[in-house]
Amino acid sequence: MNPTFPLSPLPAGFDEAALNNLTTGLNAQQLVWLSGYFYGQASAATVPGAQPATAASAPAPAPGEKLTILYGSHTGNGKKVAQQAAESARQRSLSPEVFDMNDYPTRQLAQAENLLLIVSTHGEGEAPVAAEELHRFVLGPRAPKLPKLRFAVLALGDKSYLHFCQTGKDFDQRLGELGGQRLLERVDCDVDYHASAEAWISAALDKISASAPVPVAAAAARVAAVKAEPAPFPAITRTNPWPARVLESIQLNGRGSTKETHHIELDLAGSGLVYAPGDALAVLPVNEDSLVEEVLRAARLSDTAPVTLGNEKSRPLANVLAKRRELTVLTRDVVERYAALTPHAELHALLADTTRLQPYLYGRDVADLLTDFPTDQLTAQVLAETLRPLPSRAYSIASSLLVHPDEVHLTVSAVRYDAHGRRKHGVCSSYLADQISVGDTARVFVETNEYFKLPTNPATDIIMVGAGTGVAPFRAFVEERVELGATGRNWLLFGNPHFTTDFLYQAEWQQHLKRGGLAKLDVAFSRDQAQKVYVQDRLLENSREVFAWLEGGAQFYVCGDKKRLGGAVQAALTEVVRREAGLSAEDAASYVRDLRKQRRYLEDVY
Amino acid sequence: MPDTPKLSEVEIVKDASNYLRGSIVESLGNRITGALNHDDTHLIKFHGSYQQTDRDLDSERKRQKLEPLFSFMIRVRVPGGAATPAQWQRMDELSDTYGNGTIKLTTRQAFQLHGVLKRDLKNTIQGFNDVLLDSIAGCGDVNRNVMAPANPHESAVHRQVYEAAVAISTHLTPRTTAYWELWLNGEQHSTTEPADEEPIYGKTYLPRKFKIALAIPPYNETDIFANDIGLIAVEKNGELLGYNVAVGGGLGMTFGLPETYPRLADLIGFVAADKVVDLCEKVVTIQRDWGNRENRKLSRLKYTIDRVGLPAFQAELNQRLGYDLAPARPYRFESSTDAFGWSGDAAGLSHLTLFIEGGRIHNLPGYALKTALAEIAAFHTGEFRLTGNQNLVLANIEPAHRSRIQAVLEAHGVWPATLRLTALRQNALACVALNTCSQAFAEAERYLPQLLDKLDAVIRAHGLAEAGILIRMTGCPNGCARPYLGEIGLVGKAVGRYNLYLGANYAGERLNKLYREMLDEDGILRELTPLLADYAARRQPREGFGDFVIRQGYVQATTHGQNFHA
Repeated sequence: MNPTFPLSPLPAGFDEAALNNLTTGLNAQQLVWLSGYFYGQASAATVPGAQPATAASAPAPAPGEKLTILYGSHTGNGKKVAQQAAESARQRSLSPEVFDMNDYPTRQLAQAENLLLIVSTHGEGEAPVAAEELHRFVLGPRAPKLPKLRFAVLALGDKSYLHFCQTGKDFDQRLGELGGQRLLERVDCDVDYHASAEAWISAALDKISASAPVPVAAAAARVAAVKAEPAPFPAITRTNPWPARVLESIQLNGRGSTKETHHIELDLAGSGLVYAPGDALAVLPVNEDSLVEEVLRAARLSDTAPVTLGNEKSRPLANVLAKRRELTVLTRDVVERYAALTPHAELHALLADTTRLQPYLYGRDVADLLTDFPTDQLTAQVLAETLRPLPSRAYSIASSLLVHPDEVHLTVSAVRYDAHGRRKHGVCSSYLADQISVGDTARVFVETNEYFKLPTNPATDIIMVGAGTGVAPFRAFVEERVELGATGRNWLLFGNPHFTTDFLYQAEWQQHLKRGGLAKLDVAFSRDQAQKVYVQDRLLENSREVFAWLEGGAQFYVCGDKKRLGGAVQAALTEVVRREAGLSAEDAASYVRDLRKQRRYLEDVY
Repeated sequence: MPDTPKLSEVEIVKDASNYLRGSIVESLGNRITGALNHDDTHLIKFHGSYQQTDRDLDSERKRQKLEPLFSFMIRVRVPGGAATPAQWQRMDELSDTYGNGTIKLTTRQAFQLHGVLKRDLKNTIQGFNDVLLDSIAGCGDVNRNVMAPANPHESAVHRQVYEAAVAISTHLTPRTTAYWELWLNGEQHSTTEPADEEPIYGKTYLPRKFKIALAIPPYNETDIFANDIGLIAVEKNGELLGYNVAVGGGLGMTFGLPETYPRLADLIGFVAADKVVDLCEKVVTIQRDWGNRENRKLSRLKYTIDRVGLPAFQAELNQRLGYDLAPARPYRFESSTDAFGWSGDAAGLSHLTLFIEGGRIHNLPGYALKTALAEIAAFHTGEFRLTGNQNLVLANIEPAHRSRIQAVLEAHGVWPATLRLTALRQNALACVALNTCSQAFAEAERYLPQLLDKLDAVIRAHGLAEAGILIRMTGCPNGCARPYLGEIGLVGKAVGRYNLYLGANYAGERLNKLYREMLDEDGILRELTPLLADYAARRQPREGFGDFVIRQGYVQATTHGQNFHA
């Protein structure tokens, strides 16, 4: 089969016949090799200040300052920013190299001169898996002195966590201690990171470019070249979400369950959206009316009071609260901004004492804060500026696009609880469960997850460990592998409280098991017997087989609650290895660490 | 019979089951489903259990991508219906711990627990085994729970008849050790040991279920003619001489298959009291050898007898007995119902027969039956006797307990509730049907009380509140609540639709006949109202409703199963 290339208009001096003459008899691989060869020749020939080459429509080599861009994040946001930075750098004729931290040879750090580092933070201030090793290396005693280094850190995080952007802070501080010179102060991004990230990129690149001027004409030509390439971002984004129609909404738990899990099917037809198993779908929720009313009442503000967000036209407060502001979760930053408006001594005392603030925040929402510490200093505009933007919520996709063309399925656990005198609902889960029904639309976009992907080799076995809604991506995995006829075996371990009511997608798993789509299926229903049993117990019960699968090259996936599942499964797997390989605890841990390093132990935990 | 008989699926499963083991161990260990492997669903019946689903939820759960809500009914044998207070207490606890919180008293004097999940089967069975109850042969192609009269005060020979029932039950209990091995952690049989033997049944057991009941005239509350073997106690001056023997009863039929029909047992002679167990064994073995194993719809003893002819059957029986049965002795049945309320006996003990609607022991608002009986079980020193009409006799109550029992029943609303009942309601029987029975086409136990509310109004309007008309409802034609022996029989044909049968007699000696088909509730009331009015106006003294409708020509009398459809 002939390779097909995206064809841009041919530059002057070439026509198709001429090209064919030059390339007759070459196969695809040879063509690719040749393109690289001439690319290299051309870059060597380019001298700063010379006339731009006539073949400038080919991606031109950046002759300027070398620049290392490292990213480490769980969701793929870090990668997006890194790619964006690289593009901008090329446009400025810089010479960027982009690495996932997981793949970055740490010894190269000593040689780096310009470094942009983008890293997210997880849970209680932990580094994401991909950044773990570099983080350990840089913060550890073997880290080299870095006198030549100029660097900038972009920290991705979520202000609702106490250890906001901690990993970014760690890198930033330590790189400075090792002799690095800051190109600019670290920037900490909240969940709505896009604007800050763009500003950080251009500020950092300005500093680097300032020391390496590039001829204007050459830069312009390269910009033109870059523009000819396909846009790196899909058209459907956070700022341009797709209004997906709800095709189906089913409560998956049987009667009497303590759980409430919804299976939601959305229509993507016409959106051009694509996803792969392991990706997530982000949903832009809308706060429920009753909560908006509660906040308005507590704030003693009118629903129609005008609010202006950024450069946008003015909108009524109720609309801004419903669609643009986080109300269900109360976070430290909001309390800090709010406290600045009011002299409540108790509120300031709370902020001063972390041990008291955390319990206060727990289970409280914005309405609680406004009720507990009322103020008359509030205007609609000030309230809107005090609150956080309403972030999207991402759900691991539960369907394979191959099996359900133009559809995306989600498995959503409805979060509901009573706290501080009111019934509370998770903003997005209740939006999906209660507010929208079949025929309505929800605003969505795809968030790719670089790490949580099926093996590229269809013959590779996979072990999937999922608890609760953590089973979602595995439904997509198995559907996809069955549809593709992948020969690797699929083993699912699933856990939830009760067999009769909480065996999510039970009938589908039974069919897969019957038809070979699943080679093995093990379940743990924690509350069906006096002694609680979890998926990690099933791993241990099957230790011989688990280990045999791993030794045979299997990939191991975990999806579910980070606190309750992530650590327990890792501990169980380590024990499996210790037991079956006859290793010390330390060597078993290192075996498991290697699995992670090789991207054969993959987590999607939240 | 065809030259190359094609055995039914169940026969093949039994044959391959290694004396009822099949793959039940594997089925129980499979955590992916609440069901058993298909073949094991046949075998589990022999262990006393039916796999069922909550049919109310079937379509809802399918949409939820969940399998049907599988659970198990466990039928616990109570030979002769006599349970101890300790046994009652245990069943009460087990129903709460593993079942759906209720106990069903069956029309064959057994306990049924419903809604037991697969993973709890073993614990449940161990739970009642601790109090010397079992469920082996509760269902399946074997002899089922043996019935006997429940009222000890009614006859001096009661104890002997009851003991005969227990002896027959014990003799015909399967000998396989599979039950003990599977449920009670009995020793696994090593492969070098000789396999189990079933000296009476053989390894494929009977072609179909087999039922035996005993009665002491003039009461026929065990409906002996509905059984494969009916035994009528014959006494003289308080001494038990033996039993008149009736064979070939059975009520099940299939809609649309006229070759299937309910049939009452034929009286074939008299057997001495000490030969009755042997007689039962011989009848069982004839059915084992002669019964139809190709078509389960035609495999009961009644069809075997009608196929070979009663004389041929009798000749074979006499041959196997080694003697000829004596001619049957005269007897007379007066009723097939229970006598409710308090009674006493010469020994100074009291007995209380309680009406249990639908045989269901549960708590309702203002009517805490289950709680009341559990309280009574804590101090009662007599028995809890289950009647063949789904009712309960608190038997052999010591004098000091009589008022205490009365007080408990009053405190929990049980006693007052019984006072408001018409005789029609007290005599009503209903099978379980929806939502758990897989056979049911229509409601029975859950619906009959509502229908009775409406019929009671008609009954009272015509001054018939004391008329003990037998009304029986089932959700399918298989006959569990003996609908073809109802003076009013209602057999479910579709959801909300019933066939109406009339003309059985009050003592269980004549089958009824189809009167109207596919009636909804309005239709049932429309048809029965004028009949009841007519009965109130024109009945003769002591004339039963079933006799009346025949005398008035509403239906023809059914004189034999083979003319039931005529």
